[in-house]
Amino acid sequence: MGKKVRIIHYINQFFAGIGGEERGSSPLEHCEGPKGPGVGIMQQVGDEAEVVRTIWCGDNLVNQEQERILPEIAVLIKEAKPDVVVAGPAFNAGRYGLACGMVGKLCSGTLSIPVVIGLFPENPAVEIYRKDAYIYPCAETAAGMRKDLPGLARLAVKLGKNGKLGPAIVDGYLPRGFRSNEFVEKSAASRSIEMLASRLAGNNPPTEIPLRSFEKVPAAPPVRDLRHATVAIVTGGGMVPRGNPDKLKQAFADSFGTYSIEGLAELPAGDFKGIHGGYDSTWVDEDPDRVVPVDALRAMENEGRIGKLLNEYVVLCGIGTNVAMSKALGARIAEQLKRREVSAAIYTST
Amino acid sequence: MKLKRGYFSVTSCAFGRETSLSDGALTINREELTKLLLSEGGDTHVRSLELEIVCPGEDARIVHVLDTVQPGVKVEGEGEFMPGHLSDPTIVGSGTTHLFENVAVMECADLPWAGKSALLYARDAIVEMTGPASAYSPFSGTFNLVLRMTMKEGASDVEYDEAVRHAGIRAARCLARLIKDRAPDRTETFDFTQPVDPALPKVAYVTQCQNQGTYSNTYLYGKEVSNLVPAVYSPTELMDGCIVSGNYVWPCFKIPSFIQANLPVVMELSRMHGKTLDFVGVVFDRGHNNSHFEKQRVANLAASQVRRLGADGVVVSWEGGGNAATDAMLTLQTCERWGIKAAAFTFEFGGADGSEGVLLVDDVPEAKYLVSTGSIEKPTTIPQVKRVAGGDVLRLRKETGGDPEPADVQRTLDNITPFYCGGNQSGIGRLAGVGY
Amino acid sequence: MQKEAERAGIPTALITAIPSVAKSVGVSRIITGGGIPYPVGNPSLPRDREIEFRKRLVEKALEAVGTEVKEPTVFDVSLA
Repeated sequence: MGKKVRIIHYINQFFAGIGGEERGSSPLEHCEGPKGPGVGIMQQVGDEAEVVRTIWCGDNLVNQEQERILPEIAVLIKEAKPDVVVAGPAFNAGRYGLACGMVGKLCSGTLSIPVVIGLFPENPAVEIYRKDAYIYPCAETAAGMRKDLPGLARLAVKLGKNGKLGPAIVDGYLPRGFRSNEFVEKSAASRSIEMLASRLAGNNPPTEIPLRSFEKVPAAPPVRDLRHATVAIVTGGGMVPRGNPDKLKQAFADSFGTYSIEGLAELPAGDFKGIHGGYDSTWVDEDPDRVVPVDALRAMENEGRIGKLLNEYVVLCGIGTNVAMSKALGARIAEQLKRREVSAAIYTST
Repeated sequence: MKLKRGYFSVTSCAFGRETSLSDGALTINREELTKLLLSEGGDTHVRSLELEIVCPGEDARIVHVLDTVQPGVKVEGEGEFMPGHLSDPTIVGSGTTHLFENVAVMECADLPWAGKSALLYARDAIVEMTGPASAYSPFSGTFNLVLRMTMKEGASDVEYDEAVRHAGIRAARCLARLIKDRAPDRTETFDFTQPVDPALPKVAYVTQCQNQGTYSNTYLYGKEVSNLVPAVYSPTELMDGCIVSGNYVWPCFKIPSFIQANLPVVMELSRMHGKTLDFVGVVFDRGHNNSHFEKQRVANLAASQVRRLGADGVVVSWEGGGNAATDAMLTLQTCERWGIKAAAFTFEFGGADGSEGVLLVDDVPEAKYLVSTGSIEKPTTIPQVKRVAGGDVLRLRKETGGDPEPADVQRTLDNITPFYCGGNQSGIGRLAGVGY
Repeated sequence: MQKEAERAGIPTALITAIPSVAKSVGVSRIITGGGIPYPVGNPSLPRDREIEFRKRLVEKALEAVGTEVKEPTVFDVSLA
């Protein structure tokens, strides 16, 4: 029979019974034992665990003065020697959610104490603190408290005992984004048939792969006068000088090349070659302008419709490049374009 | 159609005096078979052919792997196993077929990197027989007859492609002759001729292959499918090898002929047919279509076939990378929009720890029910091995020169792309990306 | 990659055969190109017509960088 899991619970001024939004600046306080929803947690955990201390602070205060308050919270947590910290549930409350996230980050970072927080999946704090703490998905409002506490409590106990949780799909928390390759019990084919059969029986089985969501970057303001603009070409199509002098990779790019087109009316076949590993390069080898349109832009330059075609183009092979690398390379390319005083750029991709 | 499959399982495989099968021991007369393969069909552009046997659990690796073929033979019913290859394109799928369950014929050759296309050349493919990467393909568990070939210079890609395929198929058929007139170890019968309880849900399978030119092609009844219009096939036609692979471009993204004749979704749905569901058919189509218009067109045509079958649900999978994912996702989307529930499985990216941005190259909002076949972006360290079959060197990274490197030493590969079937695109493997 | 240029204030337009992918990724200005192996061309056209087509694609791309856009926008160019 193991010892009881020691839980520290972080809540806000409302759940501590002090008051609502108008008491958002109430100071950092604590008490021994459970308070507010912590009482509910105690009821769920029975003999396995106990809430040894409850800490609360006004949401506005902790958000505005985090540099001062978080270290104080750290002291309060450390001295009570918890096995796990629980924050919230904050449902969809903005500032409370952020406060819970901050406590989560504090625990998993400097304190190295396992932590789980309860948040509504669309609470903005989720995206910010997703990797810093296990997040148990809760209802949108406190009306979901009774339904959500058992799950949150269960995770807290498991986390307090083991130090970490199993796969997100098994333990029921929001995936933090870490994925590991494992050999599981059933083949992918079997699992997909099971998933379909479950759907056909009217159920809603969880997906194994979350869909993509991309950062929204607002479009740059348009070019005012093309006739005075310097236009550059950037391609993900892997068209490089014959021999691939900079040894660009055919996939999983980690660098880009910059090559001169000074004085060229078009990109001559033979001198340039496609090395992209994801499409048949026969057509662009025959006519490299099919992926790096030097001829069309040179014609426009000669006709005065654009100010100037930049005398070099940028290239890499756009396959399999993950988002972080794409952003890093993209930023360096953007920097280079800015240094060359480029007004607008045409990108081509395959 | 109704098909009975008789399976033969061997417990050992070795070279010996006479090509024979006795009490589970498969013996192959090396000189005889080598001579047969080199002489049949005249000038096959094969300069040398050496046979090697690699057994499960051996401290070995196999390189330069191209296609892998199952030795099988039709005992009753029309056509030949793998119709259309050195045989007539007769419609198969009925009668009785005998198959070696755990013997595979592997065509291995260091095909010339003639240097023309940046996509269309055989990237070196590795099969690990032991160690952490052995479960990336099912062939660490089969007795593999490796055809180690070198090619004569001066021929075209089309000719090399045909030469290696014919050698593999001939070898497989030679072995299969041993089991034609014997009683199998076990049998399975798939009967699609009987009426099914109308209350059972109707399920279809869309299998989308790769066909982007020589060395990346898939063959349907003996011909590559560049102009394929999606159509419906009986599961038993696939079981009789109507789809043969000539796809060597990306080792992880391919489904070799052996697996095409034993697609796990086809096998499992067929076993459930009549009991818990009505497996209404397989839609076979081709991805990597070159424009959005063409991708949408193929997606619509494939979904239309699924709808015509009256399917309530569909499993969708594909062969190939991101370009093919788009076609398949559009297919899935069209099915969902028509009220047909879909599930699909795919590999993921995600970088080293899975948290770097995109997991999927492409998706549609309707792709809410996905199974993971694992991330291909994980580095894998393979050990030093005692023996390498199929070749002696590894040729990686053509775009920077592709110099040969020793194949037997320990090395860490950045990602799973060089591992044969590593992307698990038939769904046969248990590799999955698990989220934490 | 392209969004980083936008972030730095350089307007860009993408010529691609798969506008749906570009749209879902959030690229602002997208021109539907010729085909995956030939985004700025089309080898099934006679040579001089292909060059004309390429010019029209590039013109449309330039028109796009001169246009204010609020969200991912696809600009189409006819083949004929």
